[in-house]
Amino acid sequence: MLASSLVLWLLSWHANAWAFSFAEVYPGVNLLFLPHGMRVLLSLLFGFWGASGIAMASLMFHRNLWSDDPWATIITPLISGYCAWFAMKISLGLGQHSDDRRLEKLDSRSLIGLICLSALINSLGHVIILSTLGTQAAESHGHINLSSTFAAMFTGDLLGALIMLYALRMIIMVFGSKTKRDPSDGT
Amino acid sequence: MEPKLTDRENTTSRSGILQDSARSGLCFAIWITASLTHEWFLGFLHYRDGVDLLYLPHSLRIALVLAFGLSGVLGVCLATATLILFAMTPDFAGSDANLQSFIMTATQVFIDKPSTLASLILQALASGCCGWLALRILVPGRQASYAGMMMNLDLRTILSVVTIASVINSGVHVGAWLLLDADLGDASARFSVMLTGDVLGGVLGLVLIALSTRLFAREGKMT
Repeated sequence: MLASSLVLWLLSWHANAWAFSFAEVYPGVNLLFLPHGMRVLLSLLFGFWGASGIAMASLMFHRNLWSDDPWATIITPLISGYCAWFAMKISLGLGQHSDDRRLEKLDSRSLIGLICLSALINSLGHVIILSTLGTQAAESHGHINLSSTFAAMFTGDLLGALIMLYALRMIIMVFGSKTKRDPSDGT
Repeated sequence: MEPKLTDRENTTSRSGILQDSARSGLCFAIWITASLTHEWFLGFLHYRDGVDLLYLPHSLRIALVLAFGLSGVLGVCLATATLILFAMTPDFAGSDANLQSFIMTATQVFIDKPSTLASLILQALASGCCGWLALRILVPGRQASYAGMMMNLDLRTILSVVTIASVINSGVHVGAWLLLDADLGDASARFSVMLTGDVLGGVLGLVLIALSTRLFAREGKMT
């Protein structure tokens, strides 16, 4: 679970950086950030280990994006990895549901609530780190407007996750209904 | 017997229309008051005109629909249109201004640039209908019992309804501004700040409204 979430996260991150580079506002801040949907999905599917895989991937491959500060290098990947897992614990009930039951409980309202809360935690956490420890990014971009960065990051995470997860849901619905209708499957 | 029944029906429908109009008027007044109060207290959070990093009145777009249904939608639509009209015609604040000059100025603006009228209608509709649309998408078939939902608003409902309403509102607003000025340089920044402000303000406001409603309900039971 750890390895697969690590690989999936890296693939989605690089695919997004390649496909939506035009929507990048600051380094690592994108107005359309589809991998946030992967964060939510991996946390929902694999729970704590999915979140740990994302954190590990961020720690190994995305260091020094915003800061040379050792604390920022450690804390930023933790926020990135565990924001969706933490949001899941809050919005779906702290410790109330086992890993198997959280997917059963998931309806549209829970999913959108989870996406919104995780985007909020992630962007707020990143902006706090940027404002306190992010010296490198501040130097390279002169004056960084923290509120605009926060808004752009939150919007990117929110829209990216909504688009990705609902596209995935539609694909599953379309292929699911095709599989059901297909007489060759013998069912 | 028939004319009597018709009279009663007419009276009932007339009083229903009157009640709906009174509700819309109340929502109109609430929205204008909330917008002006927000401007006064939290004006420092402005990014551009109509774009704030924390927009508390967004919670009212949903709360008024929950409390008053479609009358709330109409009230907010009309109030938004009125506020935009006032913003478009700054001369109205002058000492020698009157209603006639206000209407003349507004009409002249619409004749000179018809896209202004389209933009105004779009913004008013987005502002009034976003909460109702979000509720219709996420809580379908429960329009009759929206008022009951106010008492049982949980975090996931607040977050999801506010998110969808914010996406609709900020998306349509930026579309309406692009109608006015196709070369709007900071459209993406406006969209992101407006979306963030609506979500933050909407969630904060609705959490406060839900908590106060529960508190009042508990107080009411105790007395």
